[in-house]
Amino acid sequence: MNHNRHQNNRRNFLSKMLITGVSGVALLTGTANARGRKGGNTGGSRSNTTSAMTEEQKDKLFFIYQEEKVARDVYITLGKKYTNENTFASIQLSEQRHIDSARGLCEKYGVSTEGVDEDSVGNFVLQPLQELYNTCIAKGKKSLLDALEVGELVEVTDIEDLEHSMVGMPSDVVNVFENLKEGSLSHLDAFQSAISRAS
Amino acid sequence: MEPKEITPLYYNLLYSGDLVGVKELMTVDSYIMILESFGLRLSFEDEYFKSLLKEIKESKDSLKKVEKILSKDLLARDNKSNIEIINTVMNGEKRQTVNYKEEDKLKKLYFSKEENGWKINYYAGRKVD
Repeated sequence: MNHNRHQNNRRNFLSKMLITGVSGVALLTGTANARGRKGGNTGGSRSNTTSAMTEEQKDKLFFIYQEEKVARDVYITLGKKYTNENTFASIQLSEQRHIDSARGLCEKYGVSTEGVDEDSVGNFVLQPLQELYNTCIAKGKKSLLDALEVGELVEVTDIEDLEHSMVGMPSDVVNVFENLKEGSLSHLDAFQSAISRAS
Repeated sequence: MEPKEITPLYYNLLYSGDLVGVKELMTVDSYIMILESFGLRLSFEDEYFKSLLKEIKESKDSLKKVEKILSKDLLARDNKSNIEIINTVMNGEKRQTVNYKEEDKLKKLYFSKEENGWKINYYAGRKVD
């Protein structure tokens, strides 16, 4: 993705947020607070100067780890239904890397991930995550366009969630979250292109 | 009340649309999380509700309207709570996880001990010393 295209994606994302408004997956970590902080910030300006993480940040990290699985599982399930649309298949691999990154941070900061089953697609031990997954799948199964719009919503909210969550985090965490956000911006671009084709 | 007693009560209240009761059992953040996750379906179908839902953290008026609309929706879903408590695990002095089955699927509910007793807290899932 070249620089200009990247900037366009960001503007497009901000415009979409004004329209989309309510978010799904990422609403769960208080994303409203992230509004107004988008764009222009670097990871360094948001990070702690130390490598310490507060207990509250550890709690949030553990939740993000669990939350990341929703996007992957939604794409796996919708990818199986719409086998001619390869956007889901390609992005689900990237979503697994998101999960891996979040798990890696948990391990680094001594956050136990005990009790989370990554392998069981579509099953979540936490009720709100299960509800989000079920709702996304119910909409996505209506039509390909609905499914792609679910993907768009997931990415928009994932970006917002990461923007919010990286505030005050140690620099290495911010770097990981920035990388994840870049990935989500790319996914958003892919879904919006696919929506244009399907509309 | 202990977490293992709160768990079935929470489900009964939620599925009967009693959000006033639900709110009493949860931390603020977790309650908002429930409104947002269970409200997502309606927000796909109803632009007005969607606009309200995005304002619930900033506007008490929007919060009340969302609670009223979502309460009816939850009741209309006619969900039945079939909860079987398996065990409870202490994750620290002020944290507890209830392991249970809902419709034969393993679930967890995290609790933290607040000033006014045990509250459902989705951010309290990790073990602390």
